[in-house]
Amino acid sequence: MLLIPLRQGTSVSNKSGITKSKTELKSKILLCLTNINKKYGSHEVLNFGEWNIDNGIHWLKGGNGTGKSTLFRIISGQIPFKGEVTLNEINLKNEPIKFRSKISFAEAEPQYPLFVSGQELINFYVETRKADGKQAEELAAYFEMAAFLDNKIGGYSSGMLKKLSLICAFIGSPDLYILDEPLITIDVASADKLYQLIKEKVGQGRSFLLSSHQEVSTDKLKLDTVFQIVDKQIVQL
Amino acid sequence: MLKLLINSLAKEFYQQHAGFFLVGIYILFGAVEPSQLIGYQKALLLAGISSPVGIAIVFVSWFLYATKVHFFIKEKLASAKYNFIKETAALEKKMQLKLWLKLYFTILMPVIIYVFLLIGLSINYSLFISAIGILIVFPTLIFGLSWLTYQSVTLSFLINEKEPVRFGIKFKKPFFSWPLFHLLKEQPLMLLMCKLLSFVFFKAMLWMFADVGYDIRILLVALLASVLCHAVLIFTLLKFETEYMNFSKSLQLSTYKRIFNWLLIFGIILIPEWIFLISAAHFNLYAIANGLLFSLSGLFFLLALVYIVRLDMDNYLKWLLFFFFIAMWSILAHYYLLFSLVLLAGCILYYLLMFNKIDLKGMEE
Repeated sequence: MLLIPLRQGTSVSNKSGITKSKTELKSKILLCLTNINKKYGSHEVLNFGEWNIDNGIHWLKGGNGTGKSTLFRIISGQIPFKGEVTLNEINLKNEPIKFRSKISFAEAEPQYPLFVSGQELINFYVETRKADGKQAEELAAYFEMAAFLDNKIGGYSSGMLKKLSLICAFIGSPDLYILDEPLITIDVASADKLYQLIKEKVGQGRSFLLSSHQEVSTDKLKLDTVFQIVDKQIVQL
Repeated sequence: MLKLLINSLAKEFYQQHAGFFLVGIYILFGAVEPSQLIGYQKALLLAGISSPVGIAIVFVSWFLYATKVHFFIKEKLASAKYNFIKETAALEKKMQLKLWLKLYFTILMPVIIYVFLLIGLSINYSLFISAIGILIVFPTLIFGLSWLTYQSVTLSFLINEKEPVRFGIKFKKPFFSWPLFHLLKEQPLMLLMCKLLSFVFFKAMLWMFADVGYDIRILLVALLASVLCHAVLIFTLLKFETEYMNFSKSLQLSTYKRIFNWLLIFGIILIPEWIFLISAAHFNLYAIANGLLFSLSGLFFLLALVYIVRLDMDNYLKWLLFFFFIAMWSILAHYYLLFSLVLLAGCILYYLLMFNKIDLKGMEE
């Protein structure tokens, strides 16, 4: 497998090794990260020049502590960082609200107030994303969560909590879905449903950035690119 | 083990109640001229032992303090962070009781100082019944606390879980109100104690300056005491945000909306204080408006301060002391309106500039 570090000023090569010019790429670029540097205290987690992704499904793989969640939290505007992040030419730092309206982020280990019900959380997402309540109802039914939505989140199992976070992530119609470890704690049937939903959304022109320790089943989900964080840089596999 | 308990539980207790101790110290030592301090202290102590009403007030205050301590320890023992304390359950009963007794001696130190002073004074003034009463009540309290904690650590598995009582009334919980519901549902005792202390200190300040006559500055000093009583509550609210509300940071909520939500929350939290204020201000609109602005900006400052110190309680306390002196000086020097406006504007500006640059989850680590 060919590892291609993506540095500032370099072109991005595709899997077949054919190099594309920057202007050709620019028209297709969905997400662009430039000059990214992220440290926790003195510990540097990410440091790379440029990373672009097009429309499609992208998988970021890697072990614990490589910086996957940090990268996702940067893109979703949750943590401070050095550098620039743009989505369809909307800059996160310059237009944070507009940027956030175009993405949807589901955390690896979601945490919500324990005293609110699943339905109250969903209502908040529907209201914030100006989405249709019917869409949320359909998603809850799809993930077989409708019967539990009136229960307090504090009483949910870890699998139910994960499914709730996925329902919330799919509310509205953002351009990019960022799903951090979407497969952990959910059962096989729910994972299959998630794959189906991702395919359906991709058919509608949406894009996905996924991370997973587990291998993503390629017969169930066709991945456009696979990346890995190696030594603080993102490389395409 | 005792050292560990003192460094964790006792230290956290004193840190969390810094606002309370700060105002208490001011009432006990800062309210009179230094030359009159000994006479003032002696008069206070004598008032507490020379009549049945006085001694009842002393015992009730100790009981309230002990109740606060008991619930604080109970809450800590229930959290996963303090699971290591359950290891003490393997010790012999006598050892465990001794351990808890020593810890409570540390936590009840401010009361113990007054216990010795009151006993000494009772004997000196031949008030032997008071001395005997103190010798019975205080040891009962401290042994009772140790016994309850021993029971809770060693025999908690024997307690049957109670079915939650449901009243069938469902409240809609809009997003802005979630921090309030966190206080009501998950920290009700802390909220209650905060409000009780706030009320007591507000009234105490008014009584202390009752001889001065009506002055807007007295109202504001009373409100300052109330604001300081909310120090732990605000700390708890931000802790809740970092632990459970981080998800909302990736949603399209504007920083202005977040500021508005905080002001709304503070407005609701301060309703009891505002009622005291309106009644104490004799409906003077200027005084009321100043009081509302001062208390609102005070709470917003506490919030901004917890953000600035990144949930570091030690640093928070240092700045709290600084805030107390600056606010006090501003009130006494008649700069209260300017102070409130500058404080509120500064805190809002800080929030606008910094919120997107803060890693909420990282603040806990």
